[in-house]
Amino acid sequence: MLFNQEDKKKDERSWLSIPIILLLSILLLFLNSLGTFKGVKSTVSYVLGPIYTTSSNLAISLKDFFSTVVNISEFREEYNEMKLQIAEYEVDNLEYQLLLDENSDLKSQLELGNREDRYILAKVLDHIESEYLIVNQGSKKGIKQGDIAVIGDAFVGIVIESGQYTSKIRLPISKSNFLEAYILSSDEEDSQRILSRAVINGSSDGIRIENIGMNSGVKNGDIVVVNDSKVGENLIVGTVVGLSEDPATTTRTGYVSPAVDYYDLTNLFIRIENVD
Amino acid sequence: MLIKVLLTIVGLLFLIVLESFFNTLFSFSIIVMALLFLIDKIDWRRWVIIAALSTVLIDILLLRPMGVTMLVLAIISLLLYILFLIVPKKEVILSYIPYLFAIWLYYILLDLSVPYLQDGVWGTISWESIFVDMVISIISTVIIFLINLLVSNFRSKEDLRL
Repeated sequence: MLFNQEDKKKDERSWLSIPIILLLSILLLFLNSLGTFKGVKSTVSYVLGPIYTTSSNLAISLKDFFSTVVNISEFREEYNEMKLQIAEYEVDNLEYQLLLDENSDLKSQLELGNREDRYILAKVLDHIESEYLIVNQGSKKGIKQGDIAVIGDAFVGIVIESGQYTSKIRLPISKSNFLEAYILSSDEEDSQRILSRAVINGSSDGIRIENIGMNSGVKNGDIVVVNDSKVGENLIVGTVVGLSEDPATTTRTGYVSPAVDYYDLTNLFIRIENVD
Repeated sequence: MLIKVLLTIVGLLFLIVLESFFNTLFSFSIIVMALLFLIDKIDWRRWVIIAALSTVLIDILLLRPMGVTMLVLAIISLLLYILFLIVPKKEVILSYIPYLFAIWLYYILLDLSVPYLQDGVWGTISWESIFVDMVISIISTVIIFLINLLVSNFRSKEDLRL
């Protein structure tokens, strides 16, 4: 019934299918760039989004199951190490909590706005073309273009598109990502000192950091913190690696080793801003 | 006619389920395999409709610029037609080499074109991603071969009298 004998007869005009879909695709891309299809996209993602997220979740569960079975001995070792680390972090957390309270009081005192941020927990569904992630939360939860994805204090990316049930996040490794940052010293005695301002952007080799002052004293291992109006707060990107040593230049360049392994992420948080 | 329309709709939904499942599990596209398999099996008009609908739906669900998958499909279909002018279709193994290269090009073009159409910057491909795409293409080609074998065996049984 599907492959009818009559259909299988060689149609002399079958080559027309290629120019037709080529022209149709160019037309769709042009109209899409004008924002013509927002209503259609919203409707389709509302109807088919649950199907997509359900089947993706099923695939993730299957992947996790087999991954667990294969790596069970590693997980046991990691679990024991993490128990020790958690005990150490609980001690540090008490100190950070005091600093956080002080920071909040100072912000209100300086009238920087009583900004309460909400965080939406999202599960990573897919890694697309190595520069983007798709997560399972979308505009239904209030996520919109420009929202920031984080893990704790680490910067993960910026939401560039949001459907009803899914969102697409651009990672710092994307070549179209340009963010202002500053570099903090990694020395324990000097950890609050800003050594230099810089710019980070993605490249085929990783996250590049540029415009580092020549005499700033930046060295490999120093902490890179994003400080850009697009992000809105100071978030850790990673540490400096591969710093250039060319004395003939006026600025230095290097790479950033991310604080978070973007391709190993299963969950992250998306910040929704509520400004009072 | 109504049954064909209903079958097409159900087929599209099933395709989307499989596409999202295998895309998440193995970064594997079922749609390109299905469309290249059907390209010379069904009427070209029906193929255009199925190709247009399925690629548009996938673009919306994967939050890609609408039309990019269709554009890449058009390019690889053109490559397939050109390669079939060189490679004889009756040779069993050789006739699947065009499929291999077409599917490989599909993954490479998607990696390059989606960031360009989204952000204006060409995507990044590495030797590792090219190798992975080649492995996926080989698996996809083998699947197309097996499905073709299954379909031709199934149709040969039409001669059986029940």
